[in-house]
Amino acid sequence: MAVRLKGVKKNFVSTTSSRRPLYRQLLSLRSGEERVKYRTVLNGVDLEIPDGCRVALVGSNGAGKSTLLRVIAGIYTPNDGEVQIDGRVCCFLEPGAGAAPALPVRDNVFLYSAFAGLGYRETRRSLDRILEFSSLADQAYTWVEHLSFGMQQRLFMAIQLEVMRLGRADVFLFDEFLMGVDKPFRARVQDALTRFPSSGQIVLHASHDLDLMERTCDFAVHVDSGRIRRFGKAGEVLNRYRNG
Amino acid sequence: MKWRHFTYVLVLATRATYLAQEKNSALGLVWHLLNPLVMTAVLFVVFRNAPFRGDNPNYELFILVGVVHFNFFINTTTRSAANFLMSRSLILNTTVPLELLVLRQSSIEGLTLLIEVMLVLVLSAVIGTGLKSALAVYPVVLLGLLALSLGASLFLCALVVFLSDLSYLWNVFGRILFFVTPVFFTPEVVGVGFARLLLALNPLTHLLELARKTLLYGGSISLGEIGIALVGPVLVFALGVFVFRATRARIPDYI
Repeated sequence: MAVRLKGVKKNFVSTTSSRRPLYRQLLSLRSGEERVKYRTVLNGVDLEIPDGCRVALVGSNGAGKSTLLRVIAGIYTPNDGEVQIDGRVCCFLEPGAGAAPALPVRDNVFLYSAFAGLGYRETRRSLDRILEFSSLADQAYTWVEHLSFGMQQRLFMAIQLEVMRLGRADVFLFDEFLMGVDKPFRARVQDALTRFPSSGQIVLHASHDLDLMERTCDFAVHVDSGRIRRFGKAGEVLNRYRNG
Repeated sequence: MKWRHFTYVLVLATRATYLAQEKNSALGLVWHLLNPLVMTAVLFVVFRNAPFRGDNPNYELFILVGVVHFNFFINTTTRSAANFLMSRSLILNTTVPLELLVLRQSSIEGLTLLIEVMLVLVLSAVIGTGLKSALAVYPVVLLGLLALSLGASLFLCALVVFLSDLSYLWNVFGRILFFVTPVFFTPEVVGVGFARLLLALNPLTHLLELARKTLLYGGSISLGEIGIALVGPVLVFALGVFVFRATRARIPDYI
C-alpha cells in the first residue's frame, strides 16, 4: 500500500485571528477575546491507495482536495491521524511555483527539474524531449515571463511527465494542471498519463474536468466537506458525482 | 533529498534568485562593490578626526572591513526573511526543503562578501601594510560569520511567518546593532561599563577584531581568540536550527 491515510484531520487558524499586527494581538489578549479560532478542512480522512492506481480527486470548491494533496505531499502536517507514503512524492500543485520568470525557458527546465528530483545529466538528456513535448523547442532562450500562461503550463507539465516517464518518483500529485492549455496539448497529456505511469506509480489528480479524469483515471475519490464521501471505480464515482 | 542533489538545487535556486534580484540593473555586481565603498568613504570623512578612531593605521581600511562584514550579516538576515515570506507559492506547492529557501539568500550574500573581501585584500596590498601570514586564519572568520548569519536567518524566517512585525523590529534592531558593533570605532574607546559589556556580548565584535587582524594588521592569533570569536556564532546557529525545526511543520499553515 503506497499511500495510506488514517483518521487525518487538518485545522487552520482562521484568517481573522492569524497574522494580525502585534498590537492587535496584544489588544485581543487584553480584552479577553478568543485568541485563536480554527476551521477544520480535513475531518477524519481515511484513504488507502494501492500501488499503480491513477486516482481522480473530485469535489466542490473548498471541499478539501488541495489540502488533502498537500497533506499527502508532506507540505502540511496533519493535526491528527496518520499519513504513510511509501516512496518519493513529486507534486505539481501550482504550475510554475518556484520557477524563475526572468530566466529563459532552458534554465527553468533545469531549475524545475531539479525541484522535481532530476539531476543535471538527466535533465540534459531530457531537455530536447521536454521542449518538444511542450512545443517550446523554438522558445528555449525566451524568458518564461514572456510566454503565455498556457505555454508556461505546458512547460511545467512536460517536466513533471518526464519525471514520471523516468520513474524518478513514486507518487505524483496534480491540481488542475491543464487549465489554459490548448486541445493538442491536452490530448498529448491524456495519452502520456495513460502510457507513462509504471505499474508501481500512483497518480492523484484533482480537477473539475470530469471527462479528462474519466479518460485518465482508474479510480476516483469524492471529497466533501473535508471527508471522503466515495472511493471506487472512476466511472461509478464520477457518474454519481455528476448526478449530484 | 540527498546532500548532493540538495547542493545542486541550491546552486540553481541561488542563481535564479540572484538574477531575479539583479533584473534590469544596469550596474549589477558593481553595486556590491560601490555600496561598501561609498559607506566607508562617508564614515571616513565624518569620523577621520574623531577621538574614537583610535590609533589605527589605514583607518579607511579599518572601516571597510567593518562595513563589509556588518553588511553581510544584516543583508543576509533581512533579505532571507523577506524572500522567505515571498516564497509562499513554492512552500505550499512543492516539496522543496524549507532550509533551502533560507540558504539561497545566504549563498548570494556569501558570494558578494567574497568579492568585497577580494577588494579589501587588493586595497590592503596597495595602500595598506600588505598581506600578512595571519590571512590563513581568515576562513575561520568566514565560517563564524556564516554560522551567525545563517542561525539568525533561520530564527527570523521561522518566526516572521507567525509574527509579521518581526521584520520591522529586525530593521530597528539592525540600526541599533550598527552602533553596538565596532564598525568605525575600536572596542577599547568605549571604556568599561554597560557599553563595553554590550560589545563583548555581541558576536560580531569578536569576528570583526579577528577579521581585521587577519586581513589588515597580522600578528599572532591565539586559539583562545578563535574560540571566543566562534562561541557566539555557534550558539546563535544552534538556536536558529532549534527554532526552525520546532516551527517548520507549522510554517506552511501560516505563511
